[in-house]
Amino acid sequence: MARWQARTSSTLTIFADGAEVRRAADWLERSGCDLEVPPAQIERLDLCLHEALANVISHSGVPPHETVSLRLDVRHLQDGHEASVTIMDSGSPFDVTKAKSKAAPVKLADADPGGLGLLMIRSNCDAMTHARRNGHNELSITVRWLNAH
Amino acid sequence: MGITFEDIGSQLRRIEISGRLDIPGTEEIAIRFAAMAVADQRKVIVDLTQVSFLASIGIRAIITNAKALQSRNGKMLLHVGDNASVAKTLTTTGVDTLIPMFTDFSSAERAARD
Repeated sequence: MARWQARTSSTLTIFADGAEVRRAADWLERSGCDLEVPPAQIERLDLCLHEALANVISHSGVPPHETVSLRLDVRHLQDGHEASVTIMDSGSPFDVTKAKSKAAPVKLADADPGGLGLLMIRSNCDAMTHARRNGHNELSITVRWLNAH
Repeated sequence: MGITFEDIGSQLRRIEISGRLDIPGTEEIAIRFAAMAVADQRKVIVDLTQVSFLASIGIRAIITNAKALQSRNGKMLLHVGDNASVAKTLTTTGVDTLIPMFTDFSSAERAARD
């Protein structure tokens, strides 16, 4: 089992509004860079964070004037590293880890253009957990990478 | 966020999109994208080589316009060039099986004219 060597964090609070996703992306890139997360891993988390926020903004029932809290945790282990972005919102309970991804359509005419966000999160992260605490959803999305040799 | 078009002959149009196709970026271009793309029997190559980020809302805009174009006997194709992250997103979501995707523009142009 890998032993913890170091853990660092960064936080941001945004409004549950579509215009705020750019601020969240800028924060993730800047914080990830400061915490020595490789650009390729920041890119994966960026896509996951956007899709998770899109879900909160569009489907959770959180009004645009309410806030969503974000936290980036980076852990450096003996044999590798991991970065997790956690999204905390006061919306209706929704465990994204248990939601089903929709089946891919075969023909363009049958394609429903919505509902791809969950598939995109799952295909870009290495782990995902959800908890409901004090009336809030806490979704953590993790990417991992090995030590550079 | 940028969107421009160039007509190549009478029935083929190249639409180039650049920047982040996230929520604000897609909302910014959505109306112009539909207006540029959808017309009777039009063939459209959507050039995504300069797109730095492709979110599900951007894919939704692409699929919606591709369907509208198909319903008017037109056709949409995607050009990704060497944009690996956009190509990966389109492949992961299965969009490349619905809308033909090309890494080089001349192949996309040939397919559009077939």
